Amino acid sequence: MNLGLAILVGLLPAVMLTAGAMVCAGVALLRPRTRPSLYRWVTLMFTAAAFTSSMFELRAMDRIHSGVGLIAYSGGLVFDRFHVFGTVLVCVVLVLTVLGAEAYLRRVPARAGAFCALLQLSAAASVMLLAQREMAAFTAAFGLLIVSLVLLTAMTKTSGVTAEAAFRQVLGGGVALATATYGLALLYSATGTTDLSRLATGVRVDGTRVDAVVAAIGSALVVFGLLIAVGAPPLQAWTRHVQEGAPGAVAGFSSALGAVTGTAVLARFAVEGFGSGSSRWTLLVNVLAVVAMLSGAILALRASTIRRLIADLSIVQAGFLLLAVAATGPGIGGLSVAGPTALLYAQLGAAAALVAVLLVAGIFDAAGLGTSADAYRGVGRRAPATAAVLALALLGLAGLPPLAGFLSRLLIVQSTLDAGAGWAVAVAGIATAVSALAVIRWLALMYADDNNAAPFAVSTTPLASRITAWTAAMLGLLLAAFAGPLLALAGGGATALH
Amino acid sequence: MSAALQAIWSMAAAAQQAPRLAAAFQPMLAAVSSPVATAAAATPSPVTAPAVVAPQVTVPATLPATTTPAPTATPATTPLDLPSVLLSTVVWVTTAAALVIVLLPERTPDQRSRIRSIALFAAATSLGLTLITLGSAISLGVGATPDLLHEENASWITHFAFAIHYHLSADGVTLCLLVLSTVVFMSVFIAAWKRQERLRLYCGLLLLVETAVNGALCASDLVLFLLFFAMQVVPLYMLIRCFGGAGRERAAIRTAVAGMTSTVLLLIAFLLVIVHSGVHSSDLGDLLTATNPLPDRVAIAGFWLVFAGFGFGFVIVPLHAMVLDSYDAASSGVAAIISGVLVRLSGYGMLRFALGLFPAQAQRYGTALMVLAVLSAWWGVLVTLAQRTLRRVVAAVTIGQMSLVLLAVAAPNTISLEGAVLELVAGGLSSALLLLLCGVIEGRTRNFALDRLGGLAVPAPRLGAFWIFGCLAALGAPLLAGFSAELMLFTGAFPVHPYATALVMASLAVTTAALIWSAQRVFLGPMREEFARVRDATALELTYLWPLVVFLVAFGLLAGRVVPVIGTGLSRIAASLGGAQ
Repeated sequence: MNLGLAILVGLLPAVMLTAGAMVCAGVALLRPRTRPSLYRWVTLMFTAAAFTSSMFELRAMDRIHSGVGLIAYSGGLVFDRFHVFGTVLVCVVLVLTVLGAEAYLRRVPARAGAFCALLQLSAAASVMLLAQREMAAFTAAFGLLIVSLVLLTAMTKTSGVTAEAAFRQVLGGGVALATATYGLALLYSATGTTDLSRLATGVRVDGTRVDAVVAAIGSALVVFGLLIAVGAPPLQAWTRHVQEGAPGAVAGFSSALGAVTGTAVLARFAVEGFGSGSSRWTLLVNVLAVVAMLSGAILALRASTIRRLIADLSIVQAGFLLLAVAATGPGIGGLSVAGPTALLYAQLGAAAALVAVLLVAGIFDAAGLGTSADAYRGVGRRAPATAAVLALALLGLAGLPPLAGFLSRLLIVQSTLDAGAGWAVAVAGIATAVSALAVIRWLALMYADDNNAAPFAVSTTPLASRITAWTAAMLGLLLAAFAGPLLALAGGGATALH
Repeated sequence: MSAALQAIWSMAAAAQQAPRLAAAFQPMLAAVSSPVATAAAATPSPVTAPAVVAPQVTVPATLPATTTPAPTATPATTPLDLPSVLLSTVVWVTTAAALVIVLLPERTPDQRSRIRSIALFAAATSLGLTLITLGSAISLGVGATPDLLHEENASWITHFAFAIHYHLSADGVTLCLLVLSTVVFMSVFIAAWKRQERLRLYCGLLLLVETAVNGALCASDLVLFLLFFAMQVVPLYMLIRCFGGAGRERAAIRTAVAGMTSTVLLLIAFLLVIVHSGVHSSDLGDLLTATNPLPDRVAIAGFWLVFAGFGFGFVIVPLHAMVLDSYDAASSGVAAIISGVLVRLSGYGMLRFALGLFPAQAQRYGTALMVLAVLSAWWGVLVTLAQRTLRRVVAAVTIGQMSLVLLAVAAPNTISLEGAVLELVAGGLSSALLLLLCGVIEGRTRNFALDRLGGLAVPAPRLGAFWIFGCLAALGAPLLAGFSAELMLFTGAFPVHPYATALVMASLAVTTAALIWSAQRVFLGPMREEFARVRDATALELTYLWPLVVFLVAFGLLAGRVVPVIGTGLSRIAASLGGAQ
């Protein structure tokens, strides 16, 4: 296989997803009355193609560069195992969302084409963003991701709350994109090149030293901009509104995709830009992580609706992912800290838990239950099976055993401790305990506080969506049981960041 | 009872013969087994190897060497190289039952009966397998290494900064506490036989707690232990919150806070040990045999974090209040589980991890621990005297019992530690018995206050007899398990901390008086008119009370056979204490 073909293989997952988006958009434009199931099948087919392409990418990597990765466009894009891992994860999230969104597609069949197109376009942008190592590619992919996610929320508007969520997402996204672009512009002026890896050398293209102050401000602005994708403070507002207002499947997709892509890109940007374990950025990310964990946990204790609880727990989750991003460099024993491996594994658990919990909340919404705490009283008796799945998904999101969330937090905490940030570990412990109490409080509402209302059926949501929600919740258990092989894969992906 | 014991011994003997029987079938099985599996079994994993070969244990000169023989290397599998799944079955059969129960309807009496039967079958299976294993260990005696007989060790996570194993083993200490746990759970399941309301949720949650407890007892990997230990927090909260009485909200949240805090403290302590030990493994065996000593600062922090982590469950003053509320608020079955099993699990954790991982620190801070033990013992006395309800009295007695275990931790030697393990078992069984009786008495009299009870021995003589037996067992009357435990504990602790031991013994005497006084107030004296029609213990109640009595007597009578088995389990801790000295 020659290099040109290999690079084409690297681009293929994004190309496949974009092609799927174009097919869906084209069909919706030309034949507006097409059945929603067609779009669903098209999306699934192109997602499968993207997944297969990433497997080819892996093979191409082995043959050409001893598994290091394929470099395209003078280093602007890097297709390595990190990219493959992220692509597969994005594909999984996409599949769960498409299957879980059946209820929405049936309710608004006219928008099914545009919905599926935007889902795939967001996924394609994520996949490209995971491969970038150059400012232009970064800006283009980041912009595309934000715009497609905003459109997705706006299009699935079901109430004033959703409209407000979309509007806030537009505002937040605009701020984030602008901040990141300003940051990149500053970095360009500091290094004299659009190649982000130049930062780590500390030398401009003309051989002079990089202006440290400008580089620091630029980097801080880029990190700040990326936080909107992660859904971490101070740019977490959109996450809360989207999760409160958008249909479950859309909220799950936005949150999971944002968390996965945002933290992965942040890790690549920080590690490749500043070097592994450099205190120039780890302290900042650790502080942001601590703020996210504490604020999310405290807010979760006061959550009065299920959606708000999920949003707050997802902020805690984002904090843990940020903690993993910062856990790099040499550890206490002299070996590399395993933060990147923990990050990739944690992304799996976080994505599964977010998608599961929002899909199940969507099922209860569709059944007319509402989202308030009062509505959820006694739901354990009224709809026992779905309530059990919600309980499982919430426990996974809060990081309680025996689910993947617990294991991933344990690995992240170990990496952070190994990296010497014991203070952040203490806060992480407190945040986990507090967020667990928030979930326990909600479980008490569901099981202990019975308002003696009549049982209700959740059959308003199609069976396929319900099975998808249950599968996503069960993924928390499976990811923990098969943590060994999954961590081996994550370790392979993380080698690119060491 | 002798027939039952005979049956247990027969099963134990059969368990011993099992490898020989298996060897007879080896040619047949070898013919059908796949070459890949054979090759995999024949090639030992580099990660699992250290755990299979037992460390050479040197009994220090200061420790009595009577009951701690050096373990010899024993293969972890049968001659067929088929891995044992006995401990996994003990641990997971209850979760399997919980999963089945969740799927069953509970609308009709038949459906509820099916749920009860499945839960009881799972609990009985756990108990049966545990008894077989303990019987087998007792039969093998002091020359055996029971912890390696049914060991299961598989790599779970290897591609990370440290390896995590699915490592279950059962030494003498574990086996005794497994018996305690499985007996108490089985009694509680039988006690729930008449329950109609939300039976599926009740049984499902109890089964999950049993998995968590049994798993934590068998876990020989720090992460695995933590996973099981933390698994009980949510089901326990739900059990108190959904099925408790007055004040259940407060008690449930306090118990959950205590559980979560314990988990976080233990998590940080264990990770500190793993990160700084340099063995890149969370396996307890690997950590205990690590050649690099922990930095002093880390070891001190680790010791106190582990101590505080288990302190909540251990009901050490001043952390006791977090858990004791639940005695009053939970249903009697759940209170029996908390007092009989969960509090003792913390005691087990204290012995296994605080002493095992940080022997030098345990000895360095022995005086501080001794002061805490005395303080707890006398606080327990004051609290006992101040209580106005039956359950509160039992709760206060638990503080006293656990202060005895803390005294052993403060004065660690083989005799005191063996006594501490036996005390955990005896205390657990007796307090479970008393709390289940509290439930029966409350159910009959609709009364919780000691002042308003009296003369119950007249209409309910069997209940009175059980209560007085429970009090005697809790206080360590001769021929019962508590007697041997306290005798060994005081004998071991006295040479190290004579005044503290004397003070704790004195506290025990006052507690005895208080407990007997409570029995006198409830059962003796003139009968109150409103209790004239109180029914005596029914057949169902006898069914779940008798097993606790039988095991209290059995552990007392067979202490001479059980203690050596406990001693083999403590050999590692004794060795590390000797090394620290």
